[in-house]
Amino acid sequence: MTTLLLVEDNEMNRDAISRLLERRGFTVIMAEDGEEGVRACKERLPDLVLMDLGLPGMDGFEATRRIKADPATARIPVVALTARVLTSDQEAAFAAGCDDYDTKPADLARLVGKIRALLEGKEGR
Amino acid sequence: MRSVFRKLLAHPKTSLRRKVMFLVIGLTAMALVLGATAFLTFEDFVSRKADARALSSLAEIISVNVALPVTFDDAGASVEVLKGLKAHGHITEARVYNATGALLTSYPALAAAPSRIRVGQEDRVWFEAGRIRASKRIYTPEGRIVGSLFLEMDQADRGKKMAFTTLFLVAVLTLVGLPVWFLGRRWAHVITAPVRDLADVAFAVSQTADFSLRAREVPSKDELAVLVRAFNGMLARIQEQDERLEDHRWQLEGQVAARTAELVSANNELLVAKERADVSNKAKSAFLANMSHELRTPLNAILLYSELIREESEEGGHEGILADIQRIETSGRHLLSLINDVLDLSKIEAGKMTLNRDSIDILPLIEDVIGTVGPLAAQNGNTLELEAAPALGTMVSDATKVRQSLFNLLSNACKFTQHGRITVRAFLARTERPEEEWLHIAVEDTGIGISPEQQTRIFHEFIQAQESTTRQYGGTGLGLALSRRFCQLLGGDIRLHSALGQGSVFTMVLPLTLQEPAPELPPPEKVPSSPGQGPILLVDDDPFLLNALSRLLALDGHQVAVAHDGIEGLRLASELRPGLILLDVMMPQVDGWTVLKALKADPDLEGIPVVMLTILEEAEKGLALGAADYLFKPIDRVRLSEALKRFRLDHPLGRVLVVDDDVESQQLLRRSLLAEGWDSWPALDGRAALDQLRQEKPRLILLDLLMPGMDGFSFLAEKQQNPDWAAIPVIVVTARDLSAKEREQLRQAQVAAVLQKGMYTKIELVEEVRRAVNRGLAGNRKGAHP
Repeated sequence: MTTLLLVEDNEMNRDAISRLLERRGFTVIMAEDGEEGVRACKERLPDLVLMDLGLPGMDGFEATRRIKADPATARIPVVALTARVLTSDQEAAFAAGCDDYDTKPADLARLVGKIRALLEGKEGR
Repeated sequence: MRSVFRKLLAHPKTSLRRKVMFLVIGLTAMALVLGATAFLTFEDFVSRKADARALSSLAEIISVNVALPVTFDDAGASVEVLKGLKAHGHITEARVYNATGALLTSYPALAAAPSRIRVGQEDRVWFEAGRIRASKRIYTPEGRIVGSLFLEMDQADRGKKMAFTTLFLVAVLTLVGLPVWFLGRRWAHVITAPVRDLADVAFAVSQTADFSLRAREVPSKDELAVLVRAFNGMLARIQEQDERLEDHRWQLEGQVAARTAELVSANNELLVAKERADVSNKAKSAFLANMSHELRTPLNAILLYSELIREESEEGGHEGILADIQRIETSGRHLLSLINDVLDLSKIEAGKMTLNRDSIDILPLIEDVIGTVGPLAAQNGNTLELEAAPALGTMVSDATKVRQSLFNLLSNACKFTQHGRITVRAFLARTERPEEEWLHIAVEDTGIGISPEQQTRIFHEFIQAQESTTRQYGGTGLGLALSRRFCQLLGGDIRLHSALGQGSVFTMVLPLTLQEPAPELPPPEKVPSSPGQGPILLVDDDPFLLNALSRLLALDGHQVAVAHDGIEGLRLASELRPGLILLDVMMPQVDGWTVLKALKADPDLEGIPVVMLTILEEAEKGLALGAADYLFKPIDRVRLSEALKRFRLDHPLGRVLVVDDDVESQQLLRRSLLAEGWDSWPALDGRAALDQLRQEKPRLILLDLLMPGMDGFSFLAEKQQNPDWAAIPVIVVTARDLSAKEREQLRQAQVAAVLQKGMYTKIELVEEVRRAVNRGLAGNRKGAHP
């Protein structure tokens, strides 16, 4: 059973994305902000994190940085999700340690493709 | 004689005076000689006539006296009669013949003469061989011819008399000629002097163009006087016109100066407007970026939930609503693509669109897009074909943007073509530059076509070929505009060939290799030299502002160098060592802050004061980075000159005090000075000028002489008495004709030059000013280092 951690502050997005992903066979755990996301990641050790970048308080960049800084969670792939589409965001996301990047509104098929690719890569390693 | 005469008169070097003299003397002499000759001839004629008459009457007397002896052939008696002729010294010969024609007697006796003549000839007197001869018949008292008489008289007296008369005439000629010569010489002046005067004046006018000169008037009414008067009248008219022209010129110069000022201010206004437009454009872009972000969040939810509902209803058997949900989702995605387009456009406009350099396999990319568009083509019953040239290979470009551009072209073709054919042709060609191949992707359709008039508008944002197409085909009209902007960003373009009703061909033309982004800032060259008093360096990417500002500064006499970007600015800074740098903040590639940092990091350049030009209130940042000052755009001329003053760059040439009571001429002078970089300030009379001197020492004084209150002379006297002021050079500008005494007065007051109002050109004025100041400087230096 693959567990995904969805860090997203928007309740509707969180709800819809988690339900869509669960329909595709993933177990989805959720966090509402960066701090909670980092904590959940450390406690539950999901297979992959979907990280919204524009979060209140600790933002997605910082949360990703922390996840990647902690040896316990460093190997968990992080896919950045953002409504912002500026290239600078994309670069900043990769700089923070994100493994992939997708824009909202998520094209579910594409997002799942990216998730599977990352998980397979991880298993392959 | 005639030719000599003519030569003399026509000789180019013969003066008019000589000619007149020659004419007068020559003609007088000729008249006198002719008169004398006539007199002599007449005299001769009269005297010969008298001689002839005398001889004739002598012959008459003798013939009567010899009548008796001849009658009796008494030779002795007739000899007695003839002897009486001795008293007549001039009778050289006398002969008496008898009736038969034989010589009876002769006087003098020895004369060899014809011994016989034919008697009965008529009485006559004739001239022969320089003598007068007379023959006379001798009658008896009864009237019978008894013989004839022959007399001959010499004319020795006549020659003597002629010689005497000639001598007399020569004497008279000389006596008359000398006074004529003398008087002629004197009176020739009457004619030649005005002519010469006229000639002198005309020559002077032609040489000096001084139309105030006048020929001396002749107090008479002859042609010369008329000529002189006409000439003077002509000069007066020329002078008047000249003055009017000069006035007009000055007026024009004033107008030009005013126009220039207007232009500069209009330029400034334009700058302001442009800055405002830029600012609002940037605000618009920022707004669009924000809006699209805000729009995406709810749209995200819509899309996600509609997908969720679709999936759940597929499972739950609610097929009835499936189609509706599909529509919601399709519309949502359409809305998303529109928002993306808007965002892309605003990014391009804000200059924030970045390009990736992907290695692209050309053919798979095209096939992939065609695959995506396939369903769209099928919707309108179109067939979609690809004609790709072999070996298209790879290219380096932004794959997303190439894909999106092609997708837009194809979806447009599908949209505007019903039951037709859409052909994609891909090939490489050297149409753009001969040295390299470019990728051409042509999308050809058999659709409705585009009229030439529509073709000019079709690439504009928010414009479709026709307004009605929006209703019929949907869309915002952003796709084409965006595709073209993408292709242009990638170094290429989109071309269009179309005619109404004949389909369209949109061709993407792209370079196979995307150009590298602009190079990094090169390290500034180090040229060891002290921060100099060089020109003012303007660094701004806006050519309009560069132009306006550099002209403004040049007008104030500053030397100006311009750089169009930061890199050029740095290069010029180390090359020219400017005295001041005016640096724009917002520039593409290398912005003002970077340039400022580079300047301050260079020990050779860090001493140059830098004034930042900015629309943003980032003064603090500038000052922290080492800027000496900042000016907000649009640049205010007063603020600019204040800033320049702080760096001692105000009016590098110095200030001029203009003392004139006539405000108009004062302003004219000051404008002329300003145009040459001289700042000036006015004083209305000598008293005011002295007050001004106490406050500021000018580099030069322009001084009118005739002023109410204290006039120029008194002012000069006061000025010269003050040792502080004595060295300030003065140029007198006056309308007045100066007397010798006044000139001397001015000379003693060390006046550098005197310009007659209305008689000098602007260039002369400025030249005099410059000369006077230079002399003043030389004088000061001498004073400082004796």
